Amino acid sequence: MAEVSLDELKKLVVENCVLKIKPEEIGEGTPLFGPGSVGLDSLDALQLTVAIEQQFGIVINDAEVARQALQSLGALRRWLAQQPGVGAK
Amino acid sequence: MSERVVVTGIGAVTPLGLDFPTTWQRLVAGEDAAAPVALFDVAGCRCKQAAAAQLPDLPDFTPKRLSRLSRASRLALPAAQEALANAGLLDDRRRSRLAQLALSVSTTGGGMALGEQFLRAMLGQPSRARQFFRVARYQSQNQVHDLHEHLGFRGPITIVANACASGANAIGHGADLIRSGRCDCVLIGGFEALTELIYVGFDCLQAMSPERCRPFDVARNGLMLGEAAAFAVLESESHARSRNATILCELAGYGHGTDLHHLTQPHPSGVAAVAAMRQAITEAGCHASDIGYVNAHGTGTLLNDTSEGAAFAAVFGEDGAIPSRMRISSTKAAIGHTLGAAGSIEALFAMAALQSGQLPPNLNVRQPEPIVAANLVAVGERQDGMAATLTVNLGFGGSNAALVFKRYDQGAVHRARGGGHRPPLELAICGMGAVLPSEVPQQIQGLQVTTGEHTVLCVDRNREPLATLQNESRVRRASPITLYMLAAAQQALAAAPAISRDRLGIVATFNTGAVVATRRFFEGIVQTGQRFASPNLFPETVFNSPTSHVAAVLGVAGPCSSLVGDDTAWVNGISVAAAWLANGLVEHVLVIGAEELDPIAIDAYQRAGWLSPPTRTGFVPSEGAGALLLGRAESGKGLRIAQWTEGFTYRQRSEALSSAQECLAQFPKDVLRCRNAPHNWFHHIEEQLSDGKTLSLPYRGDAFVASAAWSTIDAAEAARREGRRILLPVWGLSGQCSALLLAAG
Repeated sequence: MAEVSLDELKKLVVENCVLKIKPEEIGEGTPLFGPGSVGLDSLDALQLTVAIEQQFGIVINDAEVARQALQSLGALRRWLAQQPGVGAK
Repeated sequence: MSERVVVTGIGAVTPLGLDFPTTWQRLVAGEDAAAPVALFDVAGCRCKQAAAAQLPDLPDFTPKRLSRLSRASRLALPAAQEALANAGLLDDRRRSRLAQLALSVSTTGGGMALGEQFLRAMLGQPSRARQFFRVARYQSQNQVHDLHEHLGFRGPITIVANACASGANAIGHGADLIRSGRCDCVLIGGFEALTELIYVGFDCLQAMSPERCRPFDVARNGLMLGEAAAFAVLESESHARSRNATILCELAGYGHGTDLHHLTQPHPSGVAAVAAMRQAITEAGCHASDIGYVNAHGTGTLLNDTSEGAAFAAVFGEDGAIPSRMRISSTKAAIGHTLGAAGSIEALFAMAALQSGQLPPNLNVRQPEPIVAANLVAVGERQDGMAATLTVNLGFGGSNAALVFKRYDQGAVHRARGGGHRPPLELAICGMGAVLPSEVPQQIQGLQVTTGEHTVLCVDRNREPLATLQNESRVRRASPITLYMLAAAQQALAAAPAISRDRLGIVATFNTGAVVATRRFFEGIVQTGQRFASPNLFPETVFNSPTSHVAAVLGVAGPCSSLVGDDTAWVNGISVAAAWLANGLVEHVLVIGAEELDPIAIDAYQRAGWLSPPTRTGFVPSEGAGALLLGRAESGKGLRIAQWTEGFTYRQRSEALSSAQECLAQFPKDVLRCRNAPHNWFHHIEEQLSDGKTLSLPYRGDAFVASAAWSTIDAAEAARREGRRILLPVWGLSGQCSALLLAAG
């Protein structure tokens, strides 16, 4: 299965969360939430779960799963890779 | 000394009943109205239930007139009629006995279902979206006009849109109007009809329970939406007694504050709710221990109930626990969260509990939150002989409000709020700020600034300070109107850098509000389906979100209110600010008028035939913001608003001239009157009013309340420049002429 590219995820986060930074400014390990992070909040977390469902067809119903998967873009990429049927579009 | 405010009549239409007595009887019996949503399609939503109301028959209406009423008006009219009848103010023809009666009402959605029909048609098949009257009738002032028309009264109107706390704020404002001596009788109320946009919004936030709403249960998982209308008649004690009215209770205290923590989440310790409740209790001249029952906001969401429980413990706790004699319930599991009506209907429940001793139960609790476990009301409970009850509401945007009702005691000594000030007769203008549209039309974000031959004036958001303000993290998702408001507010504050933010309030006024966010959110529903509606956008569609962002960036945690209406809402805003200043609630108030443009709104104006060619006689859509920093003025000194009048509505265009004359006759004759409406429907009225020299103000397009704010700034500068008092009429598109008198000296 083709992996989802990091660039694709950077674009997803910047567009969905209306960030005023360029996608390339987010590193693979940069935390998305909390101190020293990109600065996302709970609304962004919900927005990202909707965007992930829309783009990859994966439903995230569990808040703990969402918390783990949305720690960073790297974590999201690894989590997506483990989901059956997910591929780059 | 200011007067006591008493309640003399109540009325409601709720999911539990077509009137208040039926609602109350079923509520205290432990019934709930949860049912599958049938009003609109919810196939793509995670949740499927709500508490819908049955619409009462309106026998006086022909089918044609009935078909023109929004669902919100269908709820509001019978509720208001019941309240007037209950107060002995309805005549044999079921119309108000008082020809003049002020209204202070609240809603979040107004007649949104009509707006949705228009949006859906525009986004799907624009060629079929010709029924402009539908979109024109969605705005909240139309429901108020329905009340005026069908209940036969007129008077100043204030429409509060502070999200879920609006209802309590509208009641508090009604009390302020009476205490300040501006009115002796006010009809207050809230109304909210279920609509798809709002339902999908709460669904995408995953704030609704997919099964049962369980307020204050440890396993709660969300709220249930509902719809309702609830009204009450407030009077000064002397007015009520002079007509031998039955006094139900006293509205003794009102408190409000703003939670800056987050747009949609309350602070975990409920700081703003604590402040609002303490303020209301203090104003009522009681102690926390005098409160026998609290109607909680209790939405049933994880965060609300935790925060509110902490607030109750802070306000009512003794030795670390809330005494069990204090009874608490949320009534939202029974009738749902009715948003703009919640504060109103819940206030009625707090009044009924005080009067009857019956308590409305907190339904669906299996394992209560420990902090309120000893306090939650069970079915069948009573608490007789209570001295006072309290209701509290927490809203999106951090709007928090509380009301205290006391048993009416004719002989009691009254503690006047704020030392019993009358409102300041004059308001000092301590600072002014404006964000104006570019004189040269510019293209912004896909907006066609000229549609055919029509000119549109837009703000250039790439210019400073807007370009920098966009980088504020709090406003990154916000509709552009927020930036305009923030820049205008900062400019007004820059003139008085030393003022205390702790003693500052904000009153924001809107006509269309955050229309860009609303269109984008609904566009998402239409294009990608309810399931993929945007949780990031929905909160930005709420009227008071821009106000909340401005408060957060400026650090204003005091009272903040959002008012909606036509252009004259700007003058309502000044009046609300005056009441706050008169009551000593704050030292300064920022009053902001702001609008933003969106292609869909421009299309709506075009379909209405408003966009005549770009001449001075045509309607030119515009956007931006204006702000005034107001304080108490020493009489006759400094730049100031020396007098203001909230004009009455009229029901027919033919009454517009007499309505304007009535308003302007209240001002001195030796003033210079502005010609403020050379470009719109009121041109001919201004011509007829012409009585010698007038002052023409710059024209920057039609941006409703923002235009009113700009004109006020222009008139203030003219007063300073010319050394004369300047009278500024403010014309409301939906039928009102209000006016301000600007002076310098």
